[in-house]
Amino acid sequence: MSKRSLSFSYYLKEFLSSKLAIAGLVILIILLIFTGIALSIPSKVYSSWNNPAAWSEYPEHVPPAWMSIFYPGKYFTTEKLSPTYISSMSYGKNLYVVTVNYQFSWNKTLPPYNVFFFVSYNTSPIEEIIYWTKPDGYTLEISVPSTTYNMPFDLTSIRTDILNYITSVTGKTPSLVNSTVLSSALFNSPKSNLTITEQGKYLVKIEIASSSPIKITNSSILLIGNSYGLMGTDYFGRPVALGVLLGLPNALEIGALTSIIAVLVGVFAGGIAGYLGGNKDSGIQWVTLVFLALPILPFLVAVSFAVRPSLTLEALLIAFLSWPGYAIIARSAALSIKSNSFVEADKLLGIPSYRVFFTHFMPRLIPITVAYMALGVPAGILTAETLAFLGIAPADIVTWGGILNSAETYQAQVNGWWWWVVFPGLMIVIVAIPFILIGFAVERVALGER
Amino acid sequence: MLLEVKNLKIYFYTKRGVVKAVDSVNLNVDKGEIVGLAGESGSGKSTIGYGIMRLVPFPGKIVDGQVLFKGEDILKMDEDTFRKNYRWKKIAMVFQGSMSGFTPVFKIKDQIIEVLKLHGWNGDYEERVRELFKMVNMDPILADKYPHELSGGQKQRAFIAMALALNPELLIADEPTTALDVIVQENILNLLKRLRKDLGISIIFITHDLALLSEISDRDYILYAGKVMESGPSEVIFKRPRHPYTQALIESIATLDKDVIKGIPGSMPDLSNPPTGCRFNTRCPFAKDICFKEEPKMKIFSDGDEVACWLY
Amino acid sequence: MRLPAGSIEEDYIVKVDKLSVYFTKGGMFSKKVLIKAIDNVSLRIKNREILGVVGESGSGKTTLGRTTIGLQKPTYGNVYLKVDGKEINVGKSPLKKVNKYVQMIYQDPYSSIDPIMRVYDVLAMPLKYRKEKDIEARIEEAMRLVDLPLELLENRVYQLSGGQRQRLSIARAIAVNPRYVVADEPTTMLDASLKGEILKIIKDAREAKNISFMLITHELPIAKIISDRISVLYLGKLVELGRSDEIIKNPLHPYTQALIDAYPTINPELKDKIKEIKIKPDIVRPEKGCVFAPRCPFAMPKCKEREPELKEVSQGHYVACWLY
Repeated sequence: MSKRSLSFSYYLKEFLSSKLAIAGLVILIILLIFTGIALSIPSKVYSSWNNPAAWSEYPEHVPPAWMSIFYPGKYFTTEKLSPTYISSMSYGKNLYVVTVNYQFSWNKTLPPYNVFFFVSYNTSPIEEIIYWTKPDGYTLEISVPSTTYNMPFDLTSIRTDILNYITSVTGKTPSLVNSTVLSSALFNSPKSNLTITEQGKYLVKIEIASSSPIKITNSSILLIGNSYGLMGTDYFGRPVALGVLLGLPNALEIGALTSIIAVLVGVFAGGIAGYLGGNKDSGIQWVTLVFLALPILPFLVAVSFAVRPSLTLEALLIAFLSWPGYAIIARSAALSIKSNSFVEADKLLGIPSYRVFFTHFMPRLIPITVAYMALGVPAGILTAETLAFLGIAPADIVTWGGILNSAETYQAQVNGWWWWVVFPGLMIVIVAIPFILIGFAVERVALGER
Repeated sequence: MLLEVKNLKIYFYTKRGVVKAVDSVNLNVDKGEIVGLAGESGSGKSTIGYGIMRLVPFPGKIVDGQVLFKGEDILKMDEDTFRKNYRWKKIAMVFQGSMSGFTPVFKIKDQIIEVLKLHGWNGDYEERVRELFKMVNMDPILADKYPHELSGGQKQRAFIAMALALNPELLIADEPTTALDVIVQENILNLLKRLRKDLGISIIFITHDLALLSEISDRDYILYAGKVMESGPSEVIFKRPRHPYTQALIESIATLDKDVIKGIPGSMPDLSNPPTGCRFNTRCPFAKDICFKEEPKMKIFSDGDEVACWLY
Repeated sequence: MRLPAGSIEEDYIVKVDKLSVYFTKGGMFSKKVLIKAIDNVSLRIKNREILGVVGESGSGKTTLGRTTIGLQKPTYGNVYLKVDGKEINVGKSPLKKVNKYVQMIYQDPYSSIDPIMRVYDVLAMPLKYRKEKDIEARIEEAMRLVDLPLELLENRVYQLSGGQRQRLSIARAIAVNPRYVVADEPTTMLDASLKGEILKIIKDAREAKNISFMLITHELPIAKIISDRISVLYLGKLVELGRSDEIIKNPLHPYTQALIDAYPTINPELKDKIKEIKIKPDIVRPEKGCVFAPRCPFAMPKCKEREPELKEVSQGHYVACWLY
């Protein structure tokens, strides 16, 4: 005679033997691992999210780096250049000149998004000039304004001379002055009116003159790529992948909290009401209707005027108002279960009320519970994001909805910055998937293979 | 011959597979005959009735066979012709649970009058309704009532009245007395007998209650798992049955003169995967090797009995 | 009213004493109607007896069965359960006290056992909550008694056929060792070929475990197969009670006689004969007098005025009719 038991472990074993359950659990575990990673990121990264200056070296609104697989010449990532050699000369006791030399080949069909110059030294110079030599031999002379001595700077800081060059070549002053335009001046051929990129060897010389001896402490050039990372960057140059990662814990928390709490409370309340019947049923129904009458958004707006909610509180508030819908459904499900004679038969057999509820009602309520939980997760996230849009949610938290929101504000769709919208949106869907898979597996165990 | 069903096959195409509910059934009904179609649930007896009326519900389909009504194959007709000329006019059906065959929002007589009008019957409608009610031995006052005001037995008789409205030649009665009290049941049986005597109407009586059938039918077909096991005159079927299933079925019917009833062990085979050989093989006490290999053919005996069994 | 005594005063397990169960129908929008499901019924079920309760729809037979085990409270009168010498008033006791001794087998095997359960759990759970020992042995015994193979214990109920489920239903009822079981139309939803088995199992259970049964059915022939005595109910009233073979051979009440006439037997010779049915088909409930009077072919003026009482006409054979 084999061992048989009424216990949970039997059902657990059946659950784990289902492919759906394994798939769902695997995805969930992967998500949780990433959540762990996200939570271990130092908080200063979190706070830097809202500081645009922290992302200045990142290319703005560029697609993911792996786009270079599909368009090899067109997309490229940021390249860091180190000096090929540094030469120093002294002219008498009062003039010292140091030249930092760079050499690189450029074989892309587009110029870099921007160029950052990192030159730091120990004195205050008289003069700092960049000599930019294109493959065709032409050399641009660009002087670095004194306001940016000994600081990192990009093309916009040295735009005056570059703009003059552009005007001299094309005959007009560009109406839009951004790093891309300036970069095209440095990388595109004058013959093509600065439209076609010159491929070949580039030489960059940075000449610093000072009255005292100069020691270079750091020097490098960043050729900012026009693609970045796994998921590209947003309008401010912030990597979308980072945003997605930082938003993961918040998304899981909001989604899970609202959905699980609302559904569990709702189904339990409705299920018990249907099961017990009589006065207790009427009582629970009354409470349900009171909550149902409250409109979610205005109520939450009102509450937020009194209390600035944290993420957890917000999740609880949304759950607090969403449970009645589930209660109504669960109650009618419970009533139809009650109409079976096995409910009465069990009472007659001496099985206690709570056990009857757990054996017959819970398994039948589980499918709708799990289904609504799965659906509730993305719904909870989106509700929270609507609130963020209205200015209710804690503003300094990274959320996917927030990312989508700013994508909408900066018209990502119009500008073709699909990565800014697709990846956060995709994540909302992906977070729902493990719940759905686990839900199907749970349903199958509870009700048996059909 | 009024009705000849030849090689009728009705299959149901479900998610689990193709359920061969009616698999090659032959049956005949002569004018003025009461023919019984007997079997347990799943035997296919009701499906045959629906097939003759061309009302097989989804996902069922009439896959093969002919249904000749006075020589014309009604399966081959287009739906319009059949509806106008045959369904309810020449062949009518009283369904299982006919008690819910009326809609609750109209009076009984109005519903019958509508049937008359729909089929192009002209004449004094009220008089016809009164006539029909007299035929089924009911007070015509009851026709003026709503369905919920009548009892189960009254509703069933009213439905029979409606079925007779256009003077059909063949009436298919599918479990007409199930869920009715036994005394009402006897009334309905008497009614059908009288209709046959007075109107010459032929009846196909479909039921699982063999005892009931024995008191009314001239000939019977015993169905099992979609096939006819035995058919013949009632005296032979009930007094000297040859097929083991018929014998077992009669043993299992509880009648007042019995002290013991026997059951048939096992269960009906899965019709989406019928066994090779005779369908009754796993439950038959006389099964031989060949019963598992080949389907037996129908053998005709001199007393009119037809049996499909390897014992003969 | 005289109580039917049975044989020995102490030898009963269920005593129904002037029991009436009335329901009120209607409420806000219609006039309240009083439905007399059971009206002043008295009878006893002896130890180890199978009592057949026969009646058609509206006879009150199901209500009677449910009241004897405490699922329905009496409106008037009492129901007693006698176990171990003690008499328990079922109507006035909590279900917890009564269900130690009684069980019920329901008509529909598809909804009386939860299909999603494992067969093992169906039998084990009640035993566990009654804190029984030797649960495994008890389960095996029950399965054997209803002729279900032990392998089925691993299956889920929905994998079982209707006949198997009904047998499981019986197993579940007898595994807890009740003294008295109400079987409410246990064969009605089963095919003809399965009815015999179920009846045989009930009889075997009575033998093996000394259980008394109330077998409720609308089919008189079914009741006859295994009942020791048969009681006939009509519109909530007990009209006849006696030994099974006696009732069938010598029915006294006109209603019983009509029933026996109406039940078909295997009689192909009768196919052309239009049976004479002496009673009117439609059920009419009179304001006063004998409930059967409106349909009775032998109705006398007395019948319309006063209700007849249950009288013992011959040894153990009782009838409520002014003809006697």
